[in-house]
Amino acid sequence: MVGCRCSLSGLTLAALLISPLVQARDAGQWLQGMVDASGQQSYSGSFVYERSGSFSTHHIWHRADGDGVTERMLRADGEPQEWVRRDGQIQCASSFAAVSGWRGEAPATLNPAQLQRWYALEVLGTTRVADRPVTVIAMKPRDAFRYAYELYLDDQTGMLLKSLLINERNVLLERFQFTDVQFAELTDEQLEPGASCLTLAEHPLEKRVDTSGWVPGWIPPGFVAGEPVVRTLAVNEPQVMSQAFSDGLARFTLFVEPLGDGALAEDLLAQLGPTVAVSRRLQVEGVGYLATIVGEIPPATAERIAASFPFATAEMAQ
Amino acid sequence: MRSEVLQESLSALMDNEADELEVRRVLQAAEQDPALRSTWSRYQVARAVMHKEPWQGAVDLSAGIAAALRDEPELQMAPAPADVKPVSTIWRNLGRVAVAASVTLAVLVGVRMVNQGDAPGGAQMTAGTMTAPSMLQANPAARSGAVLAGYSQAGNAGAEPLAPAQAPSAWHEQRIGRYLREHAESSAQMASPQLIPYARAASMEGR
Repeated sequence: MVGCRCSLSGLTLAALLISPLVQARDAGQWLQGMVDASGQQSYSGSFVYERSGSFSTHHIWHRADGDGVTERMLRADGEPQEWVRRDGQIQCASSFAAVSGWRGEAPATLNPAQLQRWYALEVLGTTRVADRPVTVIAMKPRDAFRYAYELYLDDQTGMLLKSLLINERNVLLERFQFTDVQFAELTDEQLEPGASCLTLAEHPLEKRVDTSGWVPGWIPPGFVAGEPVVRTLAVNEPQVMSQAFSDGLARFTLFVEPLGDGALAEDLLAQLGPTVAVSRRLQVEGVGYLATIVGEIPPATAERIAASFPFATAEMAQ
Repeated sequence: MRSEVLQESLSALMDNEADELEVRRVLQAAEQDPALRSTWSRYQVARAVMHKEPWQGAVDLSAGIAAALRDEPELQMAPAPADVKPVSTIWRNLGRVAVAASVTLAVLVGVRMVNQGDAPGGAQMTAGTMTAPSMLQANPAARSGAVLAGYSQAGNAGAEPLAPAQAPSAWHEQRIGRYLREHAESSAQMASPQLIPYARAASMEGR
């Protein structure tokens, strides 16, 4: 808090924001508090991320002020990976091989009221994370098409300090957890990117196209499609159609690209931590295509989406 | 066979310090005991993470090691005469080296096996001292870091019906890698307040 230039109403508002959140809040209100926290709090801290086969440590500097939200994220181990983004727009990035600037445009705003249609929200209790009291919110899917989440929200600020992603068999797929967090104003220097953070090159324009031929016959209820775009992911390569889908929490992306000379592919399922990838070959007017669904959804859901394409070659291959 | 002894043998095996008898004991027990098998799998992943070995969830070392042992000359199993103890020790050490080499080979070749997809057993690995509320309460093993390992077993069970008989083409593998990255990065760029998509993207190290 800077001095006391604030008006009376400003003081009242500040007091409301700072005061510990009332205990009577239900899970939906907790979620809303989490969404609101991001734009209101400046903080810095460290967190760990763990999935099968990977454990990494990260620093974050997050400044929220009248100018908007500026974030600097730095991976603290292995290859230095750094991002600076302002109001969600990437300013610079390092070593992420293919930062394309593509945003997918699926709905990203977490809307507790809508989410409750697909997830049962429940306050599980309280515990401690990063030496701060937190309240644990469970989000259990109401159908088999998505995973369960456990969110650990800071009692004072509502900020997400820990998150677990859990599959239908109660097995942990992913852990995100702050080890340390400080709520304080940040200086410009702290948000200054390191030398390895490169300003992004101009992105080739994304083309919006008619992709009606690539619409899967089925997607899980509650998932909303973003705008499909066609672009190249690398130089001298055919264009790829990509389209993002989201239920407000979980997200998957559909990629379709032509199969040509040297582009050999079979139907496939791969798993990287919480993320599944399912490929299906399609045949449209004599041309082969590969459709791949990638996302944090159960493998069975991804398979069902993949199986619903009108032009699947599965029968022909048999 | 008492399970503590088996756990010890399993630990020794994971440290490449098991003698042949121990290896056979573990293999035999693992055949009949899905919980032990699951524990073994989790040890493998835990070790892979610690040593930064490339880990393929589809690999179950027991099949590969059993095959390797079958092919090894029976000579190593012959008990050395009691009066030449030093020689015996050398033999035992040679045996260890041979077994260790087999383990490495199995990792590289990537032996496939059928996962029966048991829930992770071995609850004694993680004493449930935490009292934090959690959906995972019913499954104490799922609380420790090792659980992520247990996951890859479960995940494979789900993946089985579609898993190709042969490895994907190089082209396809490269594409899958690129799609995974592209998906993670586009998720991370959403103005969403959460850091998890960023962490997912950052956890995919550049190849």
